[in-house]
Amino acid sequence: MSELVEIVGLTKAYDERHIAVNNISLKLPRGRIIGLLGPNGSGKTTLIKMLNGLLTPTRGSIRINGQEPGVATKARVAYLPDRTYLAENQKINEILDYFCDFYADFSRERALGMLQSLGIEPTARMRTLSKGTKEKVQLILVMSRNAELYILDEPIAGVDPAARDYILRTIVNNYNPSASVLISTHLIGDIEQVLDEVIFMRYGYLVLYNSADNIRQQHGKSVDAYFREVFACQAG
Amino acid sequence: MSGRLIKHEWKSIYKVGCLMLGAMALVTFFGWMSFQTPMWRNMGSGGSSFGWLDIFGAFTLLLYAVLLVVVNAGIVIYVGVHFYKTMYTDEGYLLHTLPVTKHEILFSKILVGGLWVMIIVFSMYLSLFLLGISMVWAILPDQYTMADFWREFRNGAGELFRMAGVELGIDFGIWFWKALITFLITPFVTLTTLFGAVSIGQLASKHRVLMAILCYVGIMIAQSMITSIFNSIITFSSLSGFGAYLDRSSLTAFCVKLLTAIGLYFVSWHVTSNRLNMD
Repeated sequence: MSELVEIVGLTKAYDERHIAVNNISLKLPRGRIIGLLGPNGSGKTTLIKMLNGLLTPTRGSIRINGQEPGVATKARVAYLPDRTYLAENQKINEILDYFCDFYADFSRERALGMLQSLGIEPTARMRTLSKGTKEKVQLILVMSRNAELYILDEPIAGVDPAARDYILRTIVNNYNPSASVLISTHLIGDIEQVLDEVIFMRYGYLVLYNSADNIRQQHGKSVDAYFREVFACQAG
Repeated sequence: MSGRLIKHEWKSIYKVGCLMLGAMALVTFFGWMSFQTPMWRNMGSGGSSFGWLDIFGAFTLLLYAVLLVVVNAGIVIYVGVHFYKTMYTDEGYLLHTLPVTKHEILFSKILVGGLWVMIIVFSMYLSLFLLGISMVWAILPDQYTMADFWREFRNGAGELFRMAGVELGIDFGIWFWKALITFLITPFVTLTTLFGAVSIGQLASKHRVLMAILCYVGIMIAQSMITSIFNSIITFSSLSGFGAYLDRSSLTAFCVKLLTAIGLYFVSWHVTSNRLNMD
């Protein structure tokens, strides 16, 4: 089985007029960093939620390692949502215990090392941390897993440029090389250098799925510049 | 994984649960204080004076009754809100991406929440018992000791239950076991119903909390109606006496609640398994 993720005819319709993801089919290989790119409202987060079993598809199917999203896939997928999902009254130490208990592939040592490198006290409560620090803690938790698929929804949105660099370094240095990373963002310029492949989405449709090198060769411009060209009419 | 879920669920609830127990102890203290006023003391010696302290005592007793209800309802509401927060808000993103089944999640929440409701209800009965003792202590004539009271209570209570049993046609031995089983199961039934209502509320596209509340009210009304219909049937059936009627009607009410809870458990499971739509 070579493909890590196989999506066939995937659709999510909230009602007849509001179709967030429309008949998407694609296969994601192993060992790649893939950018899921598109403007706000293009269906990126909806697609990611369906991959994680947080949304039920209206039609179509998802297979991760040949299995539908469920207990087995959740054990192998590390997911960073676009929001803070940790309880405010919990200490970081308690959250580490939680991850250790539920994820067999979680490395407490790796998490503590990353926390130490950022000067974040493991005894601190979540409510005492800034928004940016909370996001870093969540990323550390996700990247401390030895998963087969990392799904990161807007990991660099809302943080300062220095933090973005740290987050990208953390992703590149910590992911399992035989695993794939799916990163959703609209800040392409910051992330382009780490991407192997890119997916463009618009209005719930898959617009393009190609390697970053191919885009640069075929169009003679960066992925960021090409993205701006493709989505130019939308911005206007 | 169930054990781990139960452990973490317990850790996330026990602080508020202990706070509620503390509140119950405080409430019991208020109740005890109300029986320390001169009115109760004079009652024991045949007097009948009523002063400012007695007004304070009466208000304290009223406060006791109100706080008892608040603490009892408070734990159910807290567990319900905790369920909603951890299942269907941002915190649900973590819970629903854990490698555990939906049955394990629901089971851990019903078990831990139900245990806490049971502990609080038990503490309420204990509080009422202690209040009863303090009242007896307050009104007991000077020549009587508590040991005298207990001796006479044991003799009298046995006879009282026997006579009431004959009069009502109830075997109090069996009645006690039925009451105990009901006491042990009811907290879990109550929470499963509440969780079911919260889960049904999630099927709405907007105002999900309001929908959950309306759904819960609707379930309560439907339960009352069904129980009333069955009770009407029981009234017209051939029963040996009032005690048998009470026995049968309370059993009917409990069965209706239990069946509703079982149905709503599967509704919660279905919503979280097949209809989950996290915002």
